[in-house]
Amino acid sequence: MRLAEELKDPYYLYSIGLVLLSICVYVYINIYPEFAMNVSAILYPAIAAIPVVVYLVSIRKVSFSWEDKFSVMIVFQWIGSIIWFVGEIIWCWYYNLYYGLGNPYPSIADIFYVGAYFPVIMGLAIYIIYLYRTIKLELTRTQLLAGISSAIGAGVIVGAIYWIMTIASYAGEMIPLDEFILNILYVLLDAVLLVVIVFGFIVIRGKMDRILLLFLVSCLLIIVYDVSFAYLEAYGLYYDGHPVELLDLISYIVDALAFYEVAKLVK
Amino acid sequence: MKPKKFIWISMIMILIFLGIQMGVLSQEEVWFNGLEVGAYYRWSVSGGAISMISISVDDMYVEEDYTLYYLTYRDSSRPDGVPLEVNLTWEEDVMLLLENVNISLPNFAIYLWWNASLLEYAKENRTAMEYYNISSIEYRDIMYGFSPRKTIVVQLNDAEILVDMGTGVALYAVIGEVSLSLVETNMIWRHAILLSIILLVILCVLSIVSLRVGIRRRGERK
Repeated sequence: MRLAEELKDPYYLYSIGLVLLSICVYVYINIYPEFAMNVSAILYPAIAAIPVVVYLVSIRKVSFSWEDKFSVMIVFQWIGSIIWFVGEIIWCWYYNLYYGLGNPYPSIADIFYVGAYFPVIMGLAIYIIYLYRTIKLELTRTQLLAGISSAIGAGVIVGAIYWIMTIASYAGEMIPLDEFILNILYVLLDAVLLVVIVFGFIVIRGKMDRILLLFLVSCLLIIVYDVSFAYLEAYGLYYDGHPVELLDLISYIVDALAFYEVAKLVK
Repeated sequence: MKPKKFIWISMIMILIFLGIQMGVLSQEEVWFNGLEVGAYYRWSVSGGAISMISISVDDMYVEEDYTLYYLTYRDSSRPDGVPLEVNLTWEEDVMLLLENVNISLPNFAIYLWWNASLLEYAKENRTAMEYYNISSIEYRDIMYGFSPRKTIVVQLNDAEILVDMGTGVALYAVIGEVSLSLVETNMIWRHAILLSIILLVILCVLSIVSLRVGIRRRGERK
């Protein structure tokens, strides 16, 4: 019932419309692959800009304070969105459309893709640790141990799979130093992010649960995308405009939904 | 650890990482990037026996150590088109794609498609430049429609060719008495960046409008 009610919300309808539009575009460019790079390079920055803009609407009403951990999470997520948006601009406009280069890796865009992880992980971790401290008494020792071990276990397993896929993409060739550093950072940051996400799902509580949930879902989509990207790269199957990019695009739309919920909260 | 301290340490780590990155960034090889199946190029030609050339990429066949491309070549004297076959192996460097086709083409036509990666290498290597009879190679930014494009200007003894870095095809060229320009392709979108900016603005405006409507309606329901 609650879901049906939300679906009547114009912003939720708009977000669903965006997801459907993205799916249609990706079906089209996979039927006509000669358009794939140009079309995905046109669409990507436009979608990545949405969470940045949506938060701007309520920026004056959300006060930032180190004591208010919720505001720390929101602002850090927004900083992450800005950095990701800059990364998309560089990848799509500079490399794809200006330089005409498909799948540039490693590139200057990776500095921003990796850089965005830091505020995103920090923002989530700060708020989730705060939530944990608040509800600590509600969790039994067994629940806590199970939560922590499953979070770390998930991070280690996904990190290991990601690393194996990344190494496999070089097919026994020497990995250049810059790519090696970048690969380690991507794997490490995704693993840490997953630990934070799983722990977040365990401690999620309160009025702001939907906002945190949306941020966690968005980050989870990014991790699934990253691991799928590494898998496709390993087997030489990735290209600009691959359907797996939909996960990345949807993660931006989910981020924007979270910022919309923030706007509703502070209106 | 206090959040403030944690953030400062993380920021320092990011800066160290950026420093390392800026020093070691490299690019992947470009090769003949415009050789996508379905790609289509048409040049208008003046000063020669023919007035138009077009090439379309029909199919490709990938093997472990070589790739076979099947193209169709058309010009004003062969409007029905002739099939071309190009074999690109990993072992040897190929500078001009159409030098390796299985039929003979007009002399100037071989300069229509370059290996942009090899051109970049030759720019830094005098011996390579002499090997390919190139007198100079320079980068140049041009506006192709509303899209800025990175190009390379290649000077030969009696020719000047403007090569698109992304696809490797000649955008403009003067070869002896013949001059040609790329007039149609589905691989370079003349207004791509502009389209992206317009789409970005439209989606942002729609986001703000639907957000405001959503908040207002919620307020009314309450």
